[in-house]
Amino acid sequence: MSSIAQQKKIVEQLRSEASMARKPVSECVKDMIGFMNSNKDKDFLVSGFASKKDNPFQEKGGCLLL
Amino acid sequence: MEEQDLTGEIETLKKKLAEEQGKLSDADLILSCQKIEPITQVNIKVRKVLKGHQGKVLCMSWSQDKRHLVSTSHDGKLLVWDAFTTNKEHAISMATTWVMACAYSPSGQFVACGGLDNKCSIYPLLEEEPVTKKRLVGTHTSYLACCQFNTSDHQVLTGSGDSTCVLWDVESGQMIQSFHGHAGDVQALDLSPSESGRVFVSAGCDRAANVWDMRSGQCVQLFDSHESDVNSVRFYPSGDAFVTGSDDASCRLFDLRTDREVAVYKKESVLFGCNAVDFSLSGRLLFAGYSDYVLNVWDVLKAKRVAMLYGHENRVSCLRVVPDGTAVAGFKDSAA
Repeated sequence: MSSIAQQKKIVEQLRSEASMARKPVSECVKDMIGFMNSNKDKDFLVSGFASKKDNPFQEKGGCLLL
Repeated sequence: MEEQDLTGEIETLKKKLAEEQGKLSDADLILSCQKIEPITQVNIKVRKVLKGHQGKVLCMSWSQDKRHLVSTSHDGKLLVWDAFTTNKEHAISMATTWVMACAYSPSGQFVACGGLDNKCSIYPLLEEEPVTKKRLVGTHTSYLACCQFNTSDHQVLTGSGDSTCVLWDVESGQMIQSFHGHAGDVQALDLSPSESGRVFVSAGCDRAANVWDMRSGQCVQLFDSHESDVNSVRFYPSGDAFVTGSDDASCRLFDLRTDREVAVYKKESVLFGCNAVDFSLSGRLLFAGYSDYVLNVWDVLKAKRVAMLYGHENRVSCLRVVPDGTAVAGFKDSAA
């Protein structure tokens, strides 16, 4: 591609990027926090398991009846 | 248009972009979250160790059944594990070494993989001898670095050392769309969880993360604040943001809607490159694996490290949180 053609491509790309609709950071942060809070209980790595039985990776203990 | 005029316009547009992005920077993520309760305890233990690979494990992918996973290594082996029992269910020897990419299909019936052979191949797991029913999905002009099934078993998205990403139709082996724009090897990609089939992000050795429109093939957003190769990229679970892990020892959070970097996860004592990143289910925790054998767990809202998980004798090359968020698996040389 000639360098002028390359430059034109860059201009097109930048024009489309510049025309993108953006949101303020404050709104994005609020949304992120909201998402985390509504999913907090389902996130076992954060909240832990209610009981050991809920953890599929927990070693199954057991007693042997002799 | 004269070359000079074009150069001038490029400069003007870049300034305008920076201005537009700056106008919306009305808050700081970390400062805004100061009042939020910090994560005080991370109770994560090593529960299972999956031993079986002879060489460095390069890639892994969980099945949607939240129990099986596939891993590939530099010695050319692909292993499918039952993570609950640690049993190996399949072992496939590939014709190539350095299998850097692998992915479990949404139905769980196939695995796609590839590496130095420049190819992405798919194996049917339900066949008695999957290796005999191997099918070629697509070929690049350099190594296959990453791959993912696009919402179904019928399409695979690949990223390559040839600096392109391609969306392939599995049945016909045809290219549906190609994505050109990276100035260096693509190292990682991730499909949007919210814009399924329409948006994905890729990152690589050009230090940039590109967000793509899958239908047009156009790069719609570009983020290039990393100071070195970006090795890993994952979408935030809501799809509004994504995190990257880089050789510059930092992880960065980029929000798509505000079009900027909103947080950096780094520490003076964390000096080694980050090779793998993933979020916990709610996105509150960021798991990052580094070349100094450690898995750092970061509180995403505070940009503070809340735990260090050891348990590996070598660098963490890939990690993934199970689809239901119950566990995280990290691979290094031969065990998870």
